[in-house]
Amino acid sequence: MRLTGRTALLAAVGFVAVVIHPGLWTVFWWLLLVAALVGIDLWLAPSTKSLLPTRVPTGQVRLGESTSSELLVRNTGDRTFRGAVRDAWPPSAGAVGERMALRLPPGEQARLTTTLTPTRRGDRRTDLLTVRSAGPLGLAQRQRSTPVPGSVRVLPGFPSRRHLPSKLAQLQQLDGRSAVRVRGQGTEFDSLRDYVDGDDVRSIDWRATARRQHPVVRTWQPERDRRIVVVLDTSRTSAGRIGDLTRLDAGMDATLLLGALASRAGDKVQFLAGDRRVRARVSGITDRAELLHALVTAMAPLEPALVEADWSHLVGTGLPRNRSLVVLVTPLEPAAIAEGLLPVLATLASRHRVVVASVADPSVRAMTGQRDNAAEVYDAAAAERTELLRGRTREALERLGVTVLDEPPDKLPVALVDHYLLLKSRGLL
Amino acid sequence: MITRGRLILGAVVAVLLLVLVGVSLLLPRNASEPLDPDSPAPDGTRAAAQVLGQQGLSVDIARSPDEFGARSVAGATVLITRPQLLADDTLRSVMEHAAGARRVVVVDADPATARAMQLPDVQAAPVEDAPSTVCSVPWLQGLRMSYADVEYTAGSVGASCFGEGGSGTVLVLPEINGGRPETVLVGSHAVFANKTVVDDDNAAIALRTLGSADRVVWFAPTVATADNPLAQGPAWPRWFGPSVWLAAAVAILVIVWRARRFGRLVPEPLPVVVPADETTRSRGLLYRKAGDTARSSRVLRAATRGRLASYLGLPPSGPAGPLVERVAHAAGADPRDVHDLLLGPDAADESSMTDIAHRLQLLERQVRR
Repeated sequence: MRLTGRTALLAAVGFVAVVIHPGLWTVFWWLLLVAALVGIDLWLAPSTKSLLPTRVPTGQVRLGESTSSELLVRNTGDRTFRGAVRDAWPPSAGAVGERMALRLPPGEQARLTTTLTPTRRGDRRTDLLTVRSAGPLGLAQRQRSTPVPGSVRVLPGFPSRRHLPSKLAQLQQLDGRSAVRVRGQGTEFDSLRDYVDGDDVRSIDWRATARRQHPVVRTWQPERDRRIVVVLDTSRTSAGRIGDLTRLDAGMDATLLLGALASRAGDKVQFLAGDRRVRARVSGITDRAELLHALVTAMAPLEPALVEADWSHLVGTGLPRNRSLVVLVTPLEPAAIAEGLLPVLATLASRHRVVVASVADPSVRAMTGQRDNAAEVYDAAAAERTELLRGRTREALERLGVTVLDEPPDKLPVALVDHYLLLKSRGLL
Repeated sequence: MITRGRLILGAVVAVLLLVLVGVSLLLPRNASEPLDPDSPAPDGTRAAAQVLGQQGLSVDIARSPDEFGARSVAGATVLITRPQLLADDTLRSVMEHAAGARRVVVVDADPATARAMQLPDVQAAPVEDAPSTVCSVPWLQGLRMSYADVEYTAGSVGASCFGEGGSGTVLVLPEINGGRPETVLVGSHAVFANKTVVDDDNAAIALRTLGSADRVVWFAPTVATADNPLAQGPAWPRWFGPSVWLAAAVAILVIVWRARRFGRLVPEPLPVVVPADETTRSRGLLYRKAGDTARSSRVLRAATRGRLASYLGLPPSGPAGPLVERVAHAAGADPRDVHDLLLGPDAADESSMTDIAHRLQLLERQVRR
């Protein structure tokens, strides 16, 4: 049950009665009248159960974009429904217009739309659906909440998508340049074409030249169908917040850019995310568009967990036997790396080409330069110490033949992709 | 945003405010009490009381019936102003207490008061004209009163003054042995009030009325000490009490209306998030709390040495000699100073630590210039 403002107003009208007939009994009888009217109104209000809601499934939405959640309500009662409906979403779903006034004649159906602009990645579930049914006098309403389950999956924002066109152009350039390049390690035979001035004479295919009666050269292209495995760390160190986003989100961004580019380049991309256990896995998808979709869908529900990563388990379960490029997206935290990653990295680096992509915190670097008073100098010393320890960890990793990319969130995706392109151009994959 | 709900809320609040304003306008304003012997206001009587004091009389002021009951009145003149403020029972006990007095003076007694004071044969009527000078009271003859409120008529005994035909603004009732002292009813507040006491012969009337004994017990009940329910100023309007109850009920209804949620609060599942630089800041705090200037300066020096070595293309953990030499050369500084800065003793206090930090920064800038 719920009273409306009209009830209070009706009770306030009683002041007139009190002035005309002063006395406590006037107040009592007036309030009794109001109570009686409220009771009658409640009795006359159609049941909240006469409204039958069904939810139209809501799809996925990329973080920062809007979608709408639709709800069909049918009035199964024999009286016109007047009142309101609230489709409750958690705050981070960014629902606008979740409270909707409704007037529905018997037997009719209405479509209620709530606009969702989620502010956080992950699955957002609806809470209870609340229905208010007003009586004819508008003094009181019946109210009831029932679960009408529904959810919307909010995909990672992929802000570094804007770098994709320029990196694709670089990739094509790489292809074109490789076509005239000499044959080298990591390149494959592509096709035969007529010799033009400037081509390397060493690439002339004599057998074909003899057949065709004019010079023909072999062209080469960068190797294709290489394997790339991205392992995303979701352990406690990924929970660190830099700016507005966690390290995990920054790592996802980098992973998506690499995945998008590598799939265009014809490489096989595998994805693995986890801490003590594997939380998400994408493998065996060759179609480009499908891969990207599979990646964002797998990443959407990931959240940092307050546990230490079990690298031997992660690396032991997910990696292919053949030589691959293994990208470990994990922060360069000295203690966590020394205890968890270093022991397994030695064997891993001997079998695969390993890159550690770490999200650096630019505020630590900024702290080293702030030295205006004693307190800031202590902080600067602490920041220098952190950098020093990170530097040592980095050296330890590099001694194992691992490439370390330690960049702030906005630079890491580009740095990772650039490194990939470098490896590809040199045929080192 | 103005919604219907807020409009209704505003209307209810406005009604309540109107009620409050109306009530406050109807409330009596009793800043100073009329005929009070301490009040210097135009309707007070401080002038009369002070003149009596200057004449050598002792003026004893009582404001509540209890106070009056505690005063000894034997042989004194008792003056009672505003008797209407007192309930009948109180008036009766006041008169009983005043029985031992030499004279009782009552100002502006109305018929009901007179009855309560055991003066049953006294009639009172409002006066319209100026009081006459006819007088049958010996000690008031030849005087003129400026203004009169009430005219009294005695039944059989008693002398009157300032009135004709057996009635007068001043009525003197003789003493009844063992029951009642000599009682003077004065039907004019103007005789005693500050503003009018100097008009005509008012002062003389006041002095002669009150000066018969060497002591005056002045009983001046106030609104605060009054116990006559009919006389406590204008009463609250009759609808006020019920209105308060109704207002309370309306307030509760408004609370119930606004308090009901449209469905429960939705919980937000929050992930674990910590600032990434938290450990570094904590380490800084640790250095600061420990005051570890030595370690801080060591760390800062080591960091600068490492950066300069890599900038100048020297091995990061090589010997210090070549590094100092190259740095001094690049910065154009004295090698001894550079050696002191890069490899000197640890900072002993915060000021020297800050100084070292600044100079290290400066040195790096000079080298990279």
